[in-house]
Amino acid sequence: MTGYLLRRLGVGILMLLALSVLVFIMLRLTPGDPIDAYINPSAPMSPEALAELRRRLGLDQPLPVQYLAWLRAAAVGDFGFSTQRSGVAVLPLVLDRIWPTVLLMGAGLAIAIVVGIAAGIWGAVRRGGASDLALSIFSSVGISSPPFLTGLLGLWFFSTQLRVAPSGGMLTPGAPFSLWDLLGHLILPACLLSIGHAALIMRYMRSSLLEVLGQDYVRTARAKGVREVWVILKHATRNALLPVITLIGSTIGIAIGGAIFLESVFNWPGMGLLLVNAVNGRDYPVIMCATLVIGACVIVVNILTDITYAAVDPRIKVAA
Amino acid sequence: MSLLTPIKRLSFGPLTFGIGAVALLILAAIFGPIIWNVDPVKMDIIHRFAGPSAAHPLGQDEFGRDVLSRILHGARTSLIIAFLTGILAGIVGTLAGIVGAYFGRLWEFVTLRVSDVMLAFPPILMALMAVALFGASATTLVVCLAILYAPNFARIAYGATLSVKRMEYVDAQRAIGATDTRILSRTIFPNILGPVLVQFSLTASHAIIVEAGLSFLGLGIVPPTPSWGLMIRAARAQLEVNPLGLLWPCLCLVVTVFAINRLCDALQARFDPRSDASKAPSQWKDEVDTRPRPTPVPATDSDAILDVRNLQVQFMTPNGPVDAVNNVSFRVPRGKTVALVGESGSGKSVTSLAIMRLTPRGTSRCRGSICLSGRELTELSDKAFRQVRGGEIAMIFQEPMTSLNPVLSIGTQLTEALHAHGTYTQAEARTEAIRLLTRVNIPDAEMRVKQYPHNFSGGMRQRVVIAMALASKPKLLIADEPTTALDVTIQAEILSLLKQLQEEEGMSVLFITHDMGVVAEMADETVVMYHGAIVETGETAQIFARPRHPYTKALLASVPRLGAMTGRDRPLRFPVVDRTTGEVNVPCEAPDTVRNDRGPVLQVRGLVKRYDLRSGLLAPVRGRVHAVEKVSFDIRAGETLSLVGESGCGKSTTGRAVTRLIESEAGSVLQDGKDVMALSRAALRDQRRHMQMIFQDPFASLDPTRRVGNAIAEPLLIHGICDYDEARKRVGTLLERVGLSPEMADRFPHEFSGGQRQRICIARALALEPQLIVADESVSALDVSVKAQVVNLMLDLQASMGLSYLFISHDMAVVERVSHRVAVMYLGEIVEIGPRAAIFDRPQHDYTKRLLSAVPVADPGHRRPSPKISNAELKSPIRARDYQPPVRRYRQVGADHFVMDSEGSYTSPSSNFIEQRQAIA
Repeated sequence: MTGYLLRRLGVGILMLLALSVLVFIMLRLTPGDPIDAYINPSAPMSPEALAELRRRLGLDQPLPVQYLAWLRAAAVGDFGFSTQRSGVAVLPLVLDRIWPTVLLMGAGLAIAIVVGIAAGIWGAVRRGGASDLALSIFSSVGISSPPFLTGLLGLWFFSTQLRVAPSGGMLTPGAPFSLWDLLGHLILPACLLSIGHAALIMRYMRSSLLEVLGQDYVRTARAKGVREVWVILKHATRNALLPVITLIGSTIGIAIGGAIFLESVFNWPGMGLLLVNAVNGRDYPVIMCATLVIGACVIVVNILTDITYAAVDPRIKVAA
Repeated sequence: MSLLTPIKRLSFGPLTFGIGAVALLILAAIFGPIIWNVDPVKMDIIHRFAGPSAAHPLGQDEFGRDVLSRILHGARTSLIIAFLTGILAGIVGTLAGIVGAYFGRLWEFVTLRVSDVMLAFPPILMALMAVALFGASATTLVVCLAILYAPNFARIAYGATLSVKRMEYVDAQRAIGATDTRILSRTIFPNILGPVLVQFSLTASHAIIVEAGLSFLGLGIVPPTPSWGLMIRAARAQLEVNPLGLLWPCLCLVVTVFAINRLCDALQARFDPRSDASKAPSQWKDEVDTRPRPTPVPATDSDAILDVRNLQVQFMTPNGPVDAVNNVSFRVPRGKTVALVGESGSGKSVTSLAIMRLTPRGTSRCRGSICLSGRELTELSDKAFRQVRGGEIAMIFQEPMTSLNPVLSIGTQLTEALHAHGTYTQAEARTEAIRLLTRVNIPDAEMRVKQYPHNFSGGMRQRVVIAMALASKPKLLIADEPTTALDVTIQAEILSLLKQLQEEEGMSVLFITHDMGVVAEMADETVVMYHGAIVETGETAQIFARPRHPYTKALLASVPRLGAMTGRDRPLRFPVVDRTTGEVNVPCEAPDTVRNDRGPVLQVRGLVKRYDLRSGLLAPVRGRVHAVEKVSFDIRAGETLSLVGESGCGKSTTGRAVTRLIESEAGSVLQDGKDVMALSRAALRDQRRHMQMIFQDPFASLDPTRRVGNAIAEPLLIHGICDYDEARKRVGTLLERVGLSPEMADRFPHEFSGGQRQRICIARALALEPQLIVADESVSALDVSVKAQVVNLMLDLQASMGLSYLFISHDMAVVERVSHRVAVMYLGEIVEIGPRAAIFDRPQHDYTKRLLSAVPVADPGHRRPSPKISNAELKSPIRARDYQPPVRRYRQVGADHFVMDSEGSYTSPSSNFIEQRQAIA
């Protein structure tokens, strides 16, 4: 198990390095001089000082050397300055925005996982019944609805029409911080974010469970005289969860996409909003740093999924 | 006719719906803007937010532009982007996937790792970066999305190619000498088209969503080009003024994506047989059954544990109810073993599942009476029946590899059986579980109880299943083909374990099997089933000695019996019995086909094949599987040499290495004096004309997408032997030769039965008129009667064409029938080789003796004493990295009969063979 984890961690670090190469190349592909990222536009520099800075930053060196230098700087958190907001260092700007996004995505994913798995089991057990049909229709429509669309419609319906939810933001401006205020702002976007994912998980869970229910070992369990509810919950569900865990891990990227759109719709002060604004304003250092941070998050989630998988499936330990 | 079949299947189903809906969308996108010819960017500020009118059926937007026209043009934009993305990503990704899977090694590594890295990052993030770098435009979007979705295609194509590549029909293509390009384009591609199409529709719907989303953020399509995303963006800004503006683009977007997703689901259901499980099966339409119920005779026989009367089982299929079991009555006396025999589809397994009430709910219906110790079971409620199931009646199943839950420990699964039927504390249950494991002769039960099924071999798993069945001390044990999936030596151990347990526990056993040898070994009484009905019941000895029903006679005639060939030298056809009249056609011995006057057709010397075991591409080798270790033998013209042994002994690997379907490490293979190992790839393809293969699984060795006539003609065309018209003629002749009719050439493989498919494979192998055919377990998957027919066909072909066979099989009884000489393999080495009569009558090597004594004899009069129960699992041919195989010596024990010997003087088997041959010549 430990060996397996270490290996997964190693692969994760390698992938992060691959991403950093990609990001670096893209950074150098950007129009304009890379040195702009290191100049504080509010404090103009003389050409001599510029040449000195260029030399100090190693920008006169060949690309691989520059990459290593950039990597060394990035490793200690030096991603330069935002070109959009003068004099603001990139890293603190990005770090500030991580937690709102993690909160929104975590809540959305948690709802999606619980609802999706429960609905999937229900649909498989009641296959062909009215409730299964209703759930199937819900999941088909849910999968076909882009998150920004459900976001817009939800916002319009619950905030504009019903006026039961705040119309955006994470906290009421000016009011003192309270958990209830945060939850009140969180609940609508998190639920809307979870719709598409819950639909996907439900569908996978349902078909996976149906497949497992046809397996020989389920028949063996029934032949032992085990109660049907235990046959489903203990024998079948645990096996059926395996592909669903893989699915959750592999669609984490899509979930982040959904979060970016919803943050934009709900004015949620997270990475998505930061990123969209940065792209609109061509703020390359922020884009690069945000991309790396999101990439790291994706890799961490993937490692977590693999650990969960290994915990559910005893065969993994042998393969490692 | 055959062309019509797929069309007939296309009734109004989900696939028609999906194709229809998407076709409508495409038509609307192409012709909509032409028919509704209004400029989508012409502004009319005065009428901004005007409601629907004749000139503007959907109203006007914030600049007074026509909404309908913008919607139609938006559909064009969406679909063009979706289509281009799908095509671009599809071509690049599919190619990479196919090449990676087919050629393996570095290609595989690059394809997999690159797609892994790309798939790990959120597509939307990459799209945002691309937009930031290259500016928002439709081209950027298409190129960027194509790059992002290509890895998905690569993964899908890789997986599909890998599973297709494992199919025997791909090996068959290589065996007839097809080039890699031909195999990739004509065999692999058509067979992976399904999943690729599914991925295409998935990509299309994703691309539409991403395009709309980016446009919504203002980072996709550049205004004023009409796009649904841009319309939604505009509507959002005007939400307070004009909430209806959101309606049309949202509706169109959802409907489009929904339609494509439906198409995608329908395609998936069509191409992936596994997804059938998610479809609701046909249900009984009306619960009221109006047909007269068979009147069960009340059970009075107190001597019987189980008394089944007039059992009828029906399955609901899309074509209406089908009787699987019809009016079946039999009884199992107390303490006795009753065998239920029949070929596949005879209803024997369904009968046993019906007794356990394990037939699928909703799609099956059982009627009749089932009494257990005089108690009617069919009237029990589900709750009451659960105490019977697993309590009074226990069951063990055919596939030990799949009948244990892979994610629960053995101990959990055992204690669960205990808790279901008794009250135990945790500690008591654990002790009892360990006792049960010891009872079925599993060593180290204390330690093994904590392990998971994957730590156990097949034979050991079957013991665990038996232990589970014993948990509740059942009165009746139903064993459904419990040894069919096991090797003979393991089968012998399991059978004697079952016998011993039955005596000690006083259980009655209902034994379901297709193997007459096992029946003779185990059963006191035998019930023969055919097409869902019982044709004969009686004492086992009586049935074997004096079968009354023609089917029983036919079945027994076609059963290979070990020892039936004593006193004969040449192969012998199976007797043919007419199933309706029972007339027997006594076989004559095959003519002498062996040509001793010529040199051998095949000379194999010192063949070695090893597989490295490592955990990754760059990881060091941990050990090696010595699959084939210095194997040498000769085959003469018209001779059949059988390679026998148990699973993992390397017999199939030898067959593949000889035909160079796999490359071997060392050794030489001389075919008619030509060294096959030294040939170039092109010369090898040419050489394949003389050496053909027939594979094990008749359902995997024919390409399902190709008509059988084309499959048989393929080798003729590849080698340029004749033109297409001539090839078609020869196909007709070949089909007749293997007992089929020439008209069948236009059918697809799925229209044939297993036996017929195997005949088609033989016809394909015969097309090139080879000297030698390697038959790899070619009759093992067939039912006994079909097996007898195919073996007869092979013997007839040998007589008429002078063929040589390398007959690879684990079935000793068939081997005894067909071979001139036999080589016994164990752990990659030949331990004994010699004339068939010598090997079977005077086996010398310990392993040969063990193998022969383990085969059940289909004669209840000659039951062997139970062999001593050993827990010897087959040893594995896996060795340490630095293992040096010992130098083997072979001792001559008779004419042409050699046995491996660790002592004795060293003689090279090969030199001895040659001397022997020369002496004969």
